[in-house]
Amino acid sequence: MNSTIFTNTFSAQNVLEAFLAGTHDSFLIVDNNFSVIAFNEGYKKFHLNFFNDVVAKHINYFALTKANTNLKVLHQSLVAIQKNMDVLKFTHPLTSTQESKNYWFDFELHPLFNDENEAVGFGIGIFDTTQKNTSLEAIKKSEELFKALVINSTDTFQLTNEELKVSYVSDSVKNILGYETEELIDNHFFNFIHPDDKVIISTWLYWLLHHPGIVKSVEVRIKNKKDSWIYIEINGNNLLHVDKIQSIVMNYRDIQAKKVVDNALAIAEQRMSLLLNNTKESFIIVNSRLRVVTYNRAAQEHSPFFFSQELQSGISLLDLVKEFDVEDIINMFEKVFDGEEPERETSFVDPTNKLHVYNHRFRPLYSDDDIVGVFITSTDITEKKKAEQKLIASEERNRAIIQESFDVMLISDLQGVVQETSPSLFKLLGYTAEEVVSKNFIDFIDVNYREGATTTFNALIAKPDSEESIDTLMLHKEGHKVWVVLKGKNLFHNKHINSMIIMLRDITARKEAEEVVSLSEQRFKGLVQSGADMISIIDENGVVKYSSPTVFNVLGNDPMTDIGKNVTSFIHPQDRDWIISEFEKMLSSGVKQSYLGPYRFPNSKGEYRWLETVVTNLNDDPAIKGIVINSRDVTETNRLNEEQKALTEELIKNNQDLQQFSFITSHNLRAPVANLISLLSLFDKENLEEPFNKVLLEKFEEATGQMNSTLNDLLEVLVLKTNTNITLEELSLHSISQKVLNNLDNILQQNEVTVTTNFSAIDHVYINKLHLESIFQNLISNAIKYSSTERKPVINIDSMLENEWIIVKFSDNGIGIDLERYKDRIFGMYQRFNASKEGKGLGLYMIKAQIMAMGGKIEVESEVNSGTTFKVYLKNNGKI
Amino acid sequence: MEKYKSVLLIEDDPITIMVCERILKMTNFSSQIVSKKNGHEGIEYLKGLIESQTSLPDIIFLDINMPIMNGWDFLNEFTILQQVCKNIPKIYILSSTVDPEDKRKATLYSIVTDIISKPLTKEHIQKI
Repeated sequence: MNSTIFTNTFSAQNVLEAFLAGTHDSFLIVDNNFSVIAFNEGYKKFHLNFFNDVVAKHINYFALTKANTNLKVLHQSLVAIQKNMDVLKFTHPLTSTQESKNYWFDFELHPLFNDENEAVGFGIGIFDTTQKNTSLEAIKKSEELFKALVINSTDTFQLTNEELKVSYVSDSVKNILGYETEELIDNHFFNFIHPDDKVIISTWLYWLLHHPGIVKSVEVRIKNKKDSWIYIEINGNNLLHVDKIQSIVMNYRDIQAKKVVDNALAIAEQRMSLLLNNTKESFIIVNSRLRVVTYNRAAQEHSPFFFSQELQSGISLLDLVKEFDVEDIINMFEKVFDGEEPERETSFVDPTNKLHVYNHRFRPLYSDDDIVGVFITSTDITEKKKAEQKLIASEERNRAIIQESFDVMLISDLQGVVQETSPSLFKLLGYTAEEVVSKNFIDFIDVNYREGATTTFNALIAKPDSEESIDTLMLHKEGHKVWVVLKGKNLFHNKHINSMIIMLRDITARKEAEEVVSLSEQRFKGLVQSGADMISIIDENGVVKYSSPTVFNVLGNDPMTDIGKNVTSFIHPQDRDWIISEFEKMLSSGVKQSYLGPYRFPNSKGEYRWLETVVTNLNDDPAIKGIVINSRDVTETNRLNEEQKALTEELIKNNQDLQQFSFITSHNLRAPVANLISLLSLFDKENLEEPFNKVLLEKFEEATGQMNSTLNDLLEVLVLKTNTNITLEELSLHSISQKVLNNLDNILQQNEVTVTTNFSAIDHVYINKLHLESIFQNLISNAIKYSSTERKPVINIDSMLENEWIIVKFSDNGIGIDLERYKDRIFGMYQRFNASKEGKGLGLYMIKAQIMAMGGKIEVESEVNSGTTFKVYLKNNGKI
Repeated sequence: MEKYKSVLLIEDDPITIMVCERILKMTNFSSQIVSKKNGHEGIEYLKGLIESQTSLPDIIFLDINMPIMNGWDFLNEFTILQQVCKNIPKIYILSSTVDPEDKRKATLYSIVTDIISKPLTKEHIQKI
């Protein structure tokens, strides 16, 4: 096809024509005017095919083809080479007018010269290159596609030569292997392959080289940037023969994860096969004549039918079982050969007297549709049996416990919906099982505790086999609330249970106790300031709501027995009314705290004790809601206080008496002194003979006598008052009275006094003799002194016993004393009530002092102009 | 010339009565001196004066410690009695008491002008 061919065209015309006739290529020769000189058969077909016309010699080529756009390019090319007279080659597509199909053609245009080197015309060669150009175009298209794929794919695309030297690798290699593209380019891909896989990749490459254009994949380990080996799957295509590629095209992906799974699967398979031999389950295959065909290791080691017998191929299964089992076994096999898969348990005792229980499953072995043998799977269930026995026992026990105990068991699903419940639920919450099943147990919890219960439940769900418990308040059917401890156990993983087990236990009592403790703590805090011994809480009516244990210490009562009782009803009748009245006054006034007492309250022995109470109204305090009474036993303190009080009173009185005594004595001493001073001032010293002086002297004498008498009286009183150590002796009232009456005999006779004495009730007294004589002397004298002029004086003296007292009574029928007027002064010092009678006003004062010195007292009853009675109380000090 | 027309002396002690009468006369305090032995007698005397529409004494010297009716009882009675009196006497308590309670008690009676400690002297009389 080069120009030399044509050089000899004209000289070897026949040879050339023969060649041209044989070729599919098209040749055409035109002269300088483009008139057709010659063409071959190929061109004739080409011309007809693409120009839809018949080519003919001597006709202007372009005149023939002028209307055909297909020839424009050829025309322009000829015009062009006519100017430069150089060879022109170009490729151009043409559309077949007959096939509507695109063809690719290479055109070669040669200027033709004669021997004289004159341009004589042009030779045109047209070569069909459609096939070649179509594939190039396809590659161009696929390159675009390839680029798109490369860019968008996670797979790595790579081009290598036939030695796997990398010429191109896509950026995604970094994602898979961690390398930059530069690290791979110009390197041999071999170097990255795991040494063990180099044989694989070589084999693959060899295959590719011998199968160009066919994709083949391979899995190999490749070193990544981190120097670890990862599995990749490579799809390879040998496109070395493709002009524009001339490479082995590879795309690969990371299959590490898949490979791991695959490996695991492989290992699992191996294990499975190992398992068959290592399992404790026995496999025996018997033929239709019940002879052993094959068996696994477990069956070999421990024949599930007869422990000691060694299993052998060919042995009859019937020889292995006990004689009385033979019939059963045969029946069993008949079923198996009917297509059933029966199960059966056998048991036997080994030589060590150990029981073995086996469960056998008999399955038919099919060959086509015929049963040719039996596959026997035997499992040692000895331990399981034991466990079952235990389980049954424990289940029965548990059931008994559940039914008998206060505990309630609920079984719920994942959502808390109750599946089952023990009957004891009724006891706890008043609901029957039917009312609860298929409802959510959360709904039976007090709304305030639902969140906590839900949290606990969810925590349980999250953790198999976990246990959680929580105190919660549940709703009883009758409306009240019940404290329970809710204990859940997640047994969803347990195939036999596959539920949540919820135990409920009534802890109301415990909660109440806790509340009481916490309340009492608050109470204690609230009350500690009062520091009382007994603490009780009562309502407005006095009914006890709470009593502290100290009640026992103080009163001996069990504090619990007080509860519900009205505390005021126990108060001593004499104190009750005023205590209640004070209590009510306090409540109505809104006063928070008030003091009550002392009042008498009986202890457990019925003895009245004096109590003092601080009442604190804490009705508003939510922790207490009551009236707190802090009480203490003040009996002892009270007694001491009373004694103290009496003593103090006595001291005050003594002091007053002494003061009075001092006032009276000073007055009584001053009076005569004052008289003496006055008398002296009137005395006429200048004129001693003055007759009035004599009168004054007489008065002087009188006043000094008066003073002396007063001093003697005072001495007597002082002796009495200071002499506390008086001697007591046993005396007879009768004999003393007789002695005094004898002394007063003259006066009695002068005044015609009748004295009667009666000491029959009590005569002997233990007393100071002088004092007793003084008492008789003074009272009899007074009776005579203040006797009535209208009647003869009568004096009655008698004695009587009254409790601890010996009373000596002196009654007269005298003038009497106006007690309304003189009661305060009758026993006073120097008190006189009758101007007509002589008296110093000391008698009654003296005897009162004497009586009191002996621990007694004196009382007076009198009616003016009727008579007076003095009652002398003497201590009956048990000596009589 | 006498200072006061008449004086009533309520006193149980005869020496005191004698001494007082003597002093009152000597000092020309009054020449008309009546003495009564206790409060009761004093009241009865005054009642008599009122009934006879005689004018009451100008001055009363009153002892405290007396039998039958002491000075205080007298004052109680007289407080009622003086409401019907034309002229009300000045009352001087004349006592040898040392009890401060008596002095305090005396101030409770508006009719008591003063309290004089015994013995009654010329100096006392001159102050009245």
